[in-house]
Amino acid sequence: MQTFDTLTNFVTVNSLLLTAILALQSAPADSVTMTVPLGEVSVTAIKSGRAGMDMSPVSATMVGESEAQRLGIITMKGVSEIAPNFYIPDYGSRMTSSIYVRGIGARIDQPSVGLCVDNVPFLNKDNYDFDLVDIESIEVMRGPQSTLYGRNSMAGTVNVTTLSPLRRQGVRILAEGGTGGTARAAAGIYARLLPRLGMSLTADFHYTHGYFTNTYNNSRADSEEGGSLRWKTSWRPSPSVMVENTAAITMSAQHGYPYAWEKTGTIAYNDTCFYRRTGITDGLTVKWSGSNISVSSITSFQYIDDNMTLDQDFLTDSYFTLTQKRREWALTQDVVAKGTAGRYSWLAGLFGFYRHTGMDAPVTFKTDGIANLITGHRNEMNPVYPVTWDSDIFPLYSTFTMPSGGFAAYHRSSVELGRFTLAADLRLDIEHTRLDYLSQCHATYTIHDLTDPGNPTVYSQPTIDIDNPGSLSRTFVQLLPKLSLTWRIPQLHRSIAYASVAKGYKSGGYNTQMFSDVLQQQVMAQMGVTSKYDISEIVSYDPESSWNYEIGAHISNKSGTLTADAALFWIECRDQQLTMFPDGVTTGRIMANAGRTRSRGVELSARWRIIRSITMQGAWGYTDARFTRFFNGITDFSGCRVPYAPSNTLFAGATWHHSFPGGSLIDRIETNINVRGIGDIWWDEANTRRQPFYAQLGASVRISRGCWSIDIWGENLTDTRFDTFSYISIGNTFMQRGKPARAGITLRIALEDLLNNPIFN
Amino acid sequence: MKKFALMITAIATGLAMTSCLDSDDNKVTNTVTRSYAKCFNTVYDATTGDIAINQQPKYTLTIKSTSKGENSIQISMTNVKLGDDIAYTTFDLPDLPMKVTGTSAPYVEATDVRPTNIATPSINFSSIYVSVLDRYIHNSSANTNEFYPVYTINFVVNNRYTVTTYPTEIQYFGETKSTATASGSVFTSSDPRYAITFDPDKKTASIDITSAQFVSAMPKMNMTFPDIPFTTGINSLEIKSDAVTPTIAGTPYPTFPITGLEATINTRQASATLVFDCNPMSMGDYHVDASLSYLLKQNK
Repeated sequence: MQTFDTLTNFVTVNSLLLTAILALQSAPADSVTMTVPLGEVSVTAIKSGRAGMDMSPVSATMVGESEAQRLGIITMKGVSEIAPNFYIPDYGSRMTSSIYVRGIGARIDQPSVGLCVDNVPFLNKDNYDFDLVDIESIEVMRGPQSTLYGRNSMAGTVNVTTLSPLRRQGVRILAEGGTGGTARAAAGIYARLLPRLGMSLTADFHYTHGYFTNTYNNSRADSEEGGSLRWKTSWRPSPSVMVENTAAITMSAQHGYPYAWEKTGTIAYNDTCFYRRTGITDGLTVKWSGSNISVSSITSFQYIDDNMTLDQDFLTDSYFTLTQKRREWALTQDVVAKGTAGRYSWLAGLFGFYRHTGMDAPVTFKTDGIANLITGHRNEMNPVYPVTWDSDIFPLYSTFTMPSGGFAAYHRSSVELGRFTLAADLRLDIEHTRLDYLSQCHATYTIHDLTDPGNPTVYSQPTIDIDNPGSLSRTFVQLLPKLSLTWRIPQLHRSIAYASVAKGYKSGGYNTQMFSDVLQQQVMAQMGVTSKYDISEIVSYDPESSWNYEIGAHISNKSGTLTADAALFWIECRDQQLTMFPDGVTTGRIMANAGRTRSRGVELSARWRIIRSITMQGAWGYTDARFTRFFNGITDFSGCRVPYAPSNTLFAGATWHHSFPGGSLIDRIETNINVRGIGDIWWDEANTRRQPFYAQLGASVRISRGCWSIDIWGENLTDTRFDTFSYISIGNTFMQRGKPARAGITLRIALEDLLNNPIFN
Repeated sequence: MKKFALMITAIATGLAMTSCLDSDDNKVTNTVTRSYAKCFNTVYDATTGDIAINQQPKYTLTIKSTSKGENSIQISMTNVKLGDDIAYTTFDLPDLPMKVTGTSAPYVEATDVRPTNIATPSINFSSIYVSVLDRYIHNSSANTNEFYPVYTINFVVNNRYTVTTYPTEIQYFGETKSTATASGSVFTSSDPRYAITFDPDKKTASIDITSAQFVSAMPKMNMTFPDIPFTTGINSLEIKSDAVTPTIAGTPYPTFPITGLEATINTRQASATLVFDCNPMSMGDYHVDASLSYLLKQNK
């Protein structure tokens, strides 16, 4: 019912917009062709200074439309390694969006990197991974963006903008097939309904049977299908007002998790694994521009309905399964005003959000789990009075309701002093979060009396009746400053050097995954093994904060054929959110703010158009991220590398194109060859296991004629074998292998070109 | 069995609790009345040398404190059986001044006190010592702080009968030291909590240990040493058994054999000692020595 109401609201809002549009259609046509500045309504443009991103004291990487197509980028993961020190491993499911930037990242709960798509700030990183077929640009800003983008952008922000119907008109069709049984189809209609009003509707569908097999039942372990629908409206009712609304629905269904057991090297599990998600978003941006001032409003609504079900042990044994069903909706509102007065420019904003999450997350122990994790331990301690469980399954139920809301006020002032620009930012962020929970389990077991082995009897039949209702709440207040100094380099075209210091912040909250641990401890306590910790101590964690010190430069030659970026950074991270074993106990774990890390490194990137037809680009990032303090209750990891964050990212590519004279069989051919490298990546805090540096070779050839183009592409052409993820569960090590060599062919048709082709005129 | 995770406050007395206020010009008096019935007495007869157990006495303690720093306690006791030569079982004592020394619990120590409810001068409290220790213990499973005061009551009547009062349940904290018999290595922990429950009728005691851990590799467990005989001394109790099979969650655990158990309870010293030998899950022989008191030396 909730989904239906949400869809009703979604349709109602956009129906009102459509009504307004139809009303406008009756007005006389405006013969003036409106040229809409590129990305002027993007959140980056709204929140950046008047200098533009390439002249801003921020490490940023931009991937445009043609490059995204060339490299086959359809998700945020595609930008991994292209932006230096920006790494998104491809493992797990669409729910897994672990992003590591400069050694800072998050596997669970709050994200370290913010994501905006068409100005919609995605609050939940579980919803970060979805396909986009109409990308206009992806911008990756590294380093804390907390002062302007607020919570959970401690390591950076990614802004994705889709094509504007005021810039592109026509019909675009895509059809793709590749190895792994991969198929993709997409279509988009981009129409300028009026000179100042454009609308687009895009749809896509994708399927893959994947590359890995669950050998237990010979099913595909990474097959997936999904699709999306996106409706974008761009409207400029007057020269000073821009309105843009993007509404989207995405759906995906994945049918397994390709985690292999290290001992056997194979994927083999017997219980169901899948992830399904439906996401709905709507973002409305309204911008008014005066002569020296502009005011923008960004309103968004987002909704997630997902279900993750796992064979949590990923073995053919029946240990335990996990389900997490969630429904979440959120509203955000950002109002930004900015202006200039001579050498002084300013920006001020107010941001608010409300998010409501309802979740069911049962963990079910099955026969092997009950035997090995509950009764087995117990019977080792007391074989004379052994225990048997009275059922084949033992479910631990947990339901949660999590409302949260926050408010922020932020400001930036900058002043130009000759070639220097000094800027100071400050943000006050206040957030309140609450967790209402009910965790419960009920079971019976039998204690046998074997004091006389020849005459066993039943000693007792205790019951387990645990009901934990409760409510926790916390309020966080953060002050986030940033200071930067920019120097425009003389004799160089659009080149700067800069220095900055900024504070980053990741929200605290509650880790609901710990509730099953709480219940397990309480069950063990009923059986006589002490439960020491209370719920708030185990599941709550404080905010994480960082200080980022950076110097860098953006260089460009006068002709614009050579651009280069460089940055040196040092990050001190405090109260890092880590999983640990408290107070020397060897069972159970809690989420704690136990760590301090230090991350330092360098980033270099460059793009060089050697001659008109040849362009080369490269990006290299190096990060030395280590714990300066982390004692998990058992071991001291100070000095060890932070796990899962790579020490190097590397991207190098070369593109050559040739245009043929008119009347030829083809108009243009373009080839690209690229290398992506990652590593070393350590899989544990003690740095005993790692993935060494590896590289993947990619290539593509595009042939285009008129309105159509065909890409023949390949990825990981050397079939490099590597692991993208590894972890340990109940004493077993698992990993996910990287995808093998793959290739495909993509057909694109842009009918606007067809309509303009002389053949048809 | 109750679970004690942390003792968070102690000391301060009924001085902090108010049942009624009287005002006399500039002096404000707070009065607190406490009832102490979950206890039993040992009565030592110096003439015969016998020690008897007197069950279910009841003590009513009326504590007064004034804004001028004057503290007193009035003690009434019922069902206190001394000897055949004393028929009285109810004794109301007059107000006696209370003292506080350093960080000690408030106490009264007096000699030659005559009960106010007995006309005959033949009954005389040759000496009396009473202290009141207020403390709160955190119950982690209920997430509450529970009030567990400790009352120490010792007195001598007619220079003949020495009475020591023991609570039927005492909670202790302290350091537990386990020494491996073979290697001599020592494992120390302040996590275990001890609750000793007496059955004066059967003359047995049960020792409940929360978060018992005698070896680092041993998981913490809630363990009970059940039904151990105790003997009475003049000012102390001794709990002793050559062999005990502990229970955990009501189930006997023969894999944790306990031998040579001796515990001494001394209420006047507000302390206890507990020693025993164990071999938990065949991990080796350990000698365990616990030095216990009503309070943790430092809060965790």
